[in-house]
Amino acid sequence: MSRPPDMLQGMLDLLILRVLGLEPMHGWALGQRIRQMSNDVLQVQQGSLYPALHKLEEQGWIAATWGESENRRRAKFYTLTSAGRTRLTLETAQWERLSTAIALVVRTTEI
Amino acid sequence: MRLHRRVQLRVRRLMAPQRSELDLQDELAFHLEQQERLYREQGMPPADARAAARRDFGAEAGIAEACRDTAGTRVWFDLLRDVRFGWRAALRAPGTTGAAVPTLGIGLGAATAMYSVVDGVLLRPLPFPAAERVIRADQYVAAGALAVIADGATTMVQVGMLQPNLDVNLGGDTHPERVRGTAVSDGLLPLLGVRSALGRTIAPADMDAAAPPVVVVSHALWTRRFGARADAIGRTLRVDGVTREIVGVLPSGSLLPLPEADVWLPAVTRGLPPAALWGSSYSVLLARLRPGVTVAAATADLRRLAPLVRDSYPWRMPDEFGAEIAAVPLHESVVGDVRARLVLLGLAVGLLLLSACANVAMLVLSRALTREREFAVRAAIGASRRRLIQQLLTETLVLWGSGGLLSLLLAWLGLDLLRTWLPADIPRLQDLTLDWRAVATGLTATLATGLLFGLLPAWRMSRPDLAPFMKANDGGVATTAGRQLLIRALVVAQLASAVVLVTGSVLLSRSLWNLRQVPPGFDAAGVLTASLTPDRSVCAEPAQCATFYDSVIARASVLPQVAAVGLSHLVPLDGTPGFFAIDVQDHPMAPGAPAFTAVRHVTTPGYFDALDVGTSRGRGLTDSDASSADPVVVVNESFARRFWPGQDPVGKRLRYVWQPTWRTIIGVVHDVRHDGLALPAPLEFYVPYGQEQPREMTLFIRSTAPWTTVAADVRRLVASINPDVPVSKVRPMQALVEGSLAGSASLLSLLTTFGGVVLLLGAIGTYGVLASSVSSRRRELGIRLALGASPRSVSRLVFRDATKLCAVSLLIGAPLA
Repeated sequence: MSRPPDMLQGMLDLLILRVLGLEPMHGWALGQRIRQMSNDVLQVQQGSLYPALHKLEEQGWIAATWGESENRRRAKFYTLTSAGRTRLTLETAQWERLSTAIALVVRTTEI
Repeated sequence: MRLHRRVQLRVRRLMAPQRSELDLQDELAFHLEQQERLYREQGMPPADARAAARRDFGAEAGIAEACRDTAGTRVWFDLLRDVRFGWRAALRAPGTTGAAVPTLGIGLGAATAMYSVVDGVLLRPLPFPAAERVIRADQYVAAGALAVIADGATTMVQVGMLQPNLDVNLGGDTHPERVRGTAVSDGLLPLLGVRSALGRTIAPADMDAAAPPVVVVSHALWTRRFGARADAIGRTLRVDGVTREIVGVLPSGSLLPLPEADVWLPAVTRGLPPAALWGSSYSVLLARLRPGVTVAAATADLRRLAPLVRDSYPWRMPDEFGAEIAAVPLHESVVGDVRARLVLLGLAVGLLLLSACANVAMLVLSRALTREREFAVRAAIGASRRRLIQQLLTETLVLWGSGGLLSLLLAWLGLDLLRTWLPADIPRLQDLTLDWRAVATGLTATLATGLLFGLLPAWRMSRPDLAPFMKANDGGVATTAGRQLLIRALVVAQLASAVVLVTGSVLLSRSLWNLRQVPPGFDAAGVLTASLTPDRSVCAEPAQCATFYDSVIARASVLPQVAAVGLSHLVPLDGTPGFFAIDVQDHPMAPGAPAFTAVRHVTTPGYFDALDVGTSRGRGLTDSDASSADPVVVVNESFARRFWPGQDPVGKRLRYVWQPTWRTIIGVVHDVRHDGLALPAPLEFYVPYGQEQPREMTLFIRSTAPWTTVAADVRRLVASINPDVPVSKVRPMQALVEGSLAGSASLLSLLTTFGGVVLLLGAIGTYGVLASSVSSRRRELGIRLALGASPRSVSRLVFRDATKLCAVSLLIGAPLA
């Protein structure tokens, strides 16, 4: 897997919250789904995915339950909590503001 | 809700750490399996699929560790693990642990005990309401002045007066007792918030001389003599020959700052002749300040009243009488003089603690240096610097914690020791206990010093130089110059503080020895003293006690082995004598100027023989002087030198300021150091007993018999003359001499012990430093020897090292001391 751009690390929390907001899933499926939703551009490294998941769980934005995967294997499923949902809205707004600002600077053709 | 979830998570992880760990591994394993399955579905052979999945995943251990790090309970588990490691490491190095733990225990224990003392004596407020609003006048006031001050003071809302330390006879059914009494005015006890436990306290009406005599007793006396029965109120007690009605009982327990007294009498401020109200009663004035008034305002108030008081005297007082009077907060006056001594002691303890901590820190560092390789490896496999510091710090804190626990035990023992060691005149000493405040302080000190002194070695060790260890042969060397310097600095600090303490105790011992060499002016060997206090029931007028005293002298003189018997009103080295204002011939004083003062003794001729005080001019007192019509006195050499230097004072005269009668000086005796061996002898004059007749006298007997025998004889003979006279304070004169040295002596022994301990610690430290330096230079020394250096030159090398250390510490320590 190619090294994703560095900015991804900072936005990883946002991505996880967004995807889990759609439906609960386990860590592996999460990585696959992010990759799929971004047309293979965003390829999350496991080295950052799992620590990020655990951190979000620790903070209470997502909750984990143990269930069965598709092939009857015990797996840890994450869901978005109500507090997490609020957090997602906040982070999304922040992201939009930030990316708009960056786009403005990058696209300006005159000083 | 979020908080609840977080807490739940942490609790679950704390309760079942293994479960959480297994879950984590399971989760990561699941991911691997899924990835492998994906590759297999894409057509890779199984072995390749597994390998590819692994490769994609990355370092599993690192990821797992990163996940663990996110857990909030991580810190806690790390700490537990470090403590366990620390404990094991400590056990594995019994030498270091065995030296460090007791060292810390002693240092911290001493500090905790000392804090207890300082807190209990100096810091804690006096145990009665609004103690800081009470002031004390720093000069004694006469009984007659109370009314003037109470009426005139604007800054004080309650004024009271007390005369502490009155010794009175308690007459009675059984043998007569001598007890402590205090005379108080009606306002004093309410001023201090003391209420009677039974009955009432002193009322204003009691303070008249003509009023029916009353007494308030202490709780202890009430229990002892009246069996703690309520019907004690209304019963009578004979105090100094006067039958008094018991009107109240005071509550039990310490009534600080009031003195420990068994009987409480009303201070008489009305109805007595002026000489009694203004001349001979000196009382302590206490007052409660009005809200919002400062101590300085009270001082100003007292000074404003001073001329009023002065003019109320029935005779002319010096013009500046009372101009220097000041108000002192009560707490200050109780502990004021003790503060200096306690601070000195506190500093000594502080040095001891510093020394102990430095010693242990150095031991830890030396020990850690031998584990440098281990730390280097830890750093190599990824331990962060913070983690290394944390580990070593926790190990050190384990040592410190054990030392701290030991110190609590030692502090408890030490407090007992301190209580017996410290001079008994330190107030509130008996109330000291190791309470929770001292324990909390001890533990805080343990933690603080542990962190401070533990960080030094930890910080040093956390930057291991990896290169020497990655080589195949490590030279066994790797202590950089920087580390050596730190260790040396610690040892120097220790030795320097030892130098300070030892020098201090040497200086103090020298001054103490000088004190012992001072001739007191009398020969105390073989002299016994006994205080005789006949009260009104024995002789209604003091003059009538003469027959009693004559019988005592007559009978005591014929006791076996007795060489001399004498009586005196004052006892050398026992309390401060009162000064009498006198006029001296050839030295006129302007009216309004302060008069000369000298100590007045009333003695029989035998007194000088008993104490072996020689005469240097003229003659001593004789028996005929007692009844002679010519008033005569004998003065001491200081007196003669002061007023007639170089001349013969025999024939000159002096008199009391309030009497017109001149008294002729008939002789000069040697000086007696009355106030203590450190102070020069005061001006003294001796009046023969018979021309003056104080009621209470002390018997001095010089005898070759053992003093217990003499004491028993004295008691028997006094009882046979008159059974109502208490015989108290029976002790050999030598005990008084020793007692006057006791304060300095105990301080000296304390300082010496401290100095000794710190010196020992310093010695251990120096040994440790040298040992570790030698072992780390083993290679270098071996090479030197191989190249032909003699063993002696090698040892000289090491020795020079040690001397350098000692020299530096002496340089630092000596000026400080």
